Amino acid sequence: MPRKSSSRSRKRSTPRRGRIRRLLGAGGWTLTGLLLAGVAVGGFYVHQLDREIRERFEGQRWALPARVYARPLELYAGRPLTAEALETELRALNYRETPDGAGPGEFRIDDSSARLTTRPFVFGDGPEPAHSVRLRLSGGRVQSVSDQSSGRNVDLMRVEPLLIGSIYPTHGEDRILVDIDEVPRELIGALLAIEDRRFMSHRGIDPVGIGRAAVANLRAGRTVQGGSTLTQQLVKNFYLTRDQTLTRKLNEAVMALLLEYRYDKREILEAYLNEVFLGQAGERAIHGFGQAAQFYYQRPLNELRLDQLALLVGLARGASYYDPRRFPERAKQRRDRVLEAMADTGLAERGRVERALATGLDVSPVMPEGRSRFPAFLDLVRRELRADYADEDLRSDGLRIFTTMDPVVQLRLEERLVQGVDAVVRERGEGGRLEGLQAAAVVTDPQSGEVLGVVGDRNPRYPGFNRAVEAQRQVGSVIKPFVYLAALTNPRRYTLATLLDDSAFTLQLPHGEPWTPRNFDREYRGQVTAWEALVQSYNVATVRLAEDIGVSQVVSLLQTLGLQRNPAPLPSLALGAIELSPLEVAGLYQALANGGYATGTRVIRDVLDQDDAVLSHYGLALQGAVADGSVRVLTHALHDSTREGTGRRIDARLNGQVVAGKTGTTSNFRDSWFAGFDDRHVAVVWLGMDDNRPTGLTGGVSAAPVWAEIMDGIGVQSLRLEGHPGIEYQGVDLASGLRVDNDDHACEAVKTLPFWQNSGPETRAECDLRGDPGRQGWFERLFR
Amino acid sequence: MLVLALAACATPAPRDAAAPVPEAASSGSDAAAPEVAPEADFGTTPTAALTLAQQAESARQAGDTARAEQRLERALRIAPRDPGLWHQMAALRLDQQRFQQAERLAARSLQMAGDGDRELALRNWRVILEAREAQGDAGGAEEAREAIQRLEADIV
Repeated sequence: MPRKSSSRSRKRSTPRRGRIRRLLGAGGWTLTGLLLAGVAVGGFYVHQLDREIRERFEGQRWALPARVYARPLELYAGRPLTAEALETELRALNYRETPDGAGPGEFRIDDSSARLTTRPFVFGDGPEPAHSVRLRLSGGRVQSVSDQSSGRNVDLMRVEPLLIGSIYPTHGEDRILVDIDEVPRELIGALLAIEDRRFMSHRGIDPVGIGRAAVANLRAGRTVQGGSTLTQQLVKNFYLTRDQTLTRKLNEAVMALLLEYRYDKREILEAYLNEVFLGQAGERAIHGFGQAAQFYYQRPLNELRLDQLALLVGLARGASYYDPRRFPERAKQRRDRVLEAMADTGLAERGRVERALATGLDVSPVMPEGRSRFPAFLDLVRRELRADYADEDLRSDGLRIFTTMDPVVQLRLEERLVQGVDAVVRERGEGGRLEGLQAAAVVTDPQSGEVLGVVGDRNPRYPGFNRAVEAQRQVGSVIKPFVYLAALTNPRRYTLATLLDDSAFTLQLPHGEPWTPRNFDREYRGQVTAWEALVQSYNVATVRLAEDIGVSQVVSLLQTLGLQRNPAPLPSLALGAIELSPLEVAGLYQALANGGYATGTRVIRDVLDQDDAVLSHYGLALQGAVADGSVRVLTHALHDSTREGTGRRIDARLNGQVVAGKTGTTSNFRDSWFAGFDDRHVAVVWLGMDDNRPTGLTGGVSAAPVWAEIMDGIGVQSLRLEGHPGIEYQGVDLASGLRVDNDDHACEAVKTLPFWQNSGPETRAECDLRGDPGRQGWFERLFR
Repeated sequence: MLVLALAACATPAPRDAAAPVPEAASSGSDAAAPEVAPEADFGTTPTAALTLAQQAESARQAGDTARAEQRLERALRIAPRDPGLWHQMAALRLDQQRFQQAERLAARSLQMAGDGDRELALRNWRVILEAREAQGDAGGAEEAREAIQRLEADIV
């Protein structure tokens, strides 16, 4: 049951001061009790207690945790969605598979169709009603959405979002407030039947009840019944410690009387329903029936069956003693007693009770921990929130935070990252060499900058160091595309066919020390095209290029694309001598995947207060940009990198689907990276040791295959590289960087490259001329 | 004329970008061919996105720019390559007096649309003109005015 803001904002009824007549009319107990208490401990004492009660009852009664939600699944005709992904999402939401998917939180998925029934939910842009719909799925898309009963088309709908975590009050109390009108009447009836039959008529304490309990206890020779009213129990939960002193008993009695004097039964009962302690999980204390329903059954209270309601009612007497997970037998006996009481008092028909009695305990076996299932994502959310919200507000104001997480992407990312890294360790970790290998990954949507999934540890459930955000690691060659992009924005001077010098040289660094950049294989290749230097990740040629255009230009490009740092413009920057987190790398790559526009990374869409008012909206914003023609040319080369360059394992794994990206390996194999994108996602993977120990892994043999695994899991949407009207394609001799027009040429290696703004080489390559029958004749070709 | 018109619909050079190399060509200045890729698949914008865009427009007309923004963002998540939606977002940012964003979003819309839709190009340039004027960018505004004149001449 969703939290209803109305129940919290509604004004408490005014205390009935001065209604002496009513009090006298009530006659007996209230007055006598109050007088006795007053005589015993003085008016001041009563006054104090009264003030305490009013403060507690009329202010904000409870510190409510902030709830953090994933993005809601939007359903509409044309949406890319497989039956498998839909099922993943619905199971994450604890939907039940039923034959017709007609009840709230139920679904049924067949080959090409699905039925499901959602629950109403209030979003930042308004309420979304419940929907009971049928989807037709085919070709990886939703073909239609129609109402299950009327058959009418549904244009667009949202499924309620997955709760991905809560930010708890410091005392650990967790509750979902319920409005008394939304609580099943069987639950209330059963509660009164078993705990306090005279609740509606007593005035806070119940001498008849006390007497009956005393007799029962005397007969049994031990405590078998309590004589406390619900009001007393509420007071006990609300204000007092658990010690069993006489003073405490007296306080409790006086406060119960005062509470009944000031507030009506409805309010007291609603407070009880939300306050009573019903379970514990680690630090997290479960209070109220709304939260208990989720805690034990992972469903809202109004969807529970009779036997489930009875179990929760039974827990009010002692949630630890009757804990259904630890003491199922005891819990069942207690539940059955509640069910019997329901039959006895006529709350439920005998037949229904019999059926409920025959039902086993079906408490969800896994105790939902207070800890989030998605610690890295939640950590990122908290970091962003900290900029605008005080910790105390997050812990107590019942805020609702809507994030960008796509649960299907997140779950697939986790699963494939684990599989991929395990495979690397299996294949390359002989002799336990890779013990302690760590990993982190980020997936974002480049068009919006929204973060879809984050993993910060090789064990994605482990809530420790969040490497995706906190680890600052050298990025190595992952930075190179930005060096080349800085060059390619000036097509008059640089193209992919531009020859770069890949021969040994030594630079003087500012402090005077010499630096000799080396290639990974310690070879030098002389003149190479920029295309080859990037695709094969040559260091020496890249440093020369950076020197040529000016390293400060590279820094300035990185800042345009969202880098929030100011690295010194040293030549080693061109080889990635800069420490960044995987999230920062993803931010930079987004611009490459988004036509040159940087969008920044965002994890929060909206923050709502308890009354569903939007406190903050974090909207779409475009940051700096570079010309899209240069980006498109670069993307071609980065695609080639995944086919024939250092990332070539990717093409093999993804069966020719079109993606682009770059490997990175830092000195002594300390960090392995792959950063890349398809048409709808940017993904970044990092592998390494926390203590910076060398792993012996290159990005190409470790991070790249893991990346491919992840992309396969989330579903590749191929890049569309062709079709840019400002770009032409030209065959190029890779040895000379000159044009090749003949199919029948004598060049050793020819590659068709993209050129922006008519920037292709004008001079024909020697080998092309030689291969031209008109010029060189067939004779020479014969003896080639 | 055609060349001029084509140049006019080209994406304006990103004005706030760091130009890594001084002589970086500003696309659209003297290019003979249209500079931008038609990334959009006009036929494939789902009805849902258009419905949201309509709701956004109603909200905007009612003065509820916050709701308009949220609806449009939803639409863009559904159809991130629809240049019409990007234009609508640009116009909304103009309403919100977020001029720099208005200009960037309109430029993004131009970039996506390529030369496919002159009417849209004209509307985008008008947003750009207004945004540049509001930011006191006289030179940029003049460039936008010229682009608008060329497009108007061509469309009539």
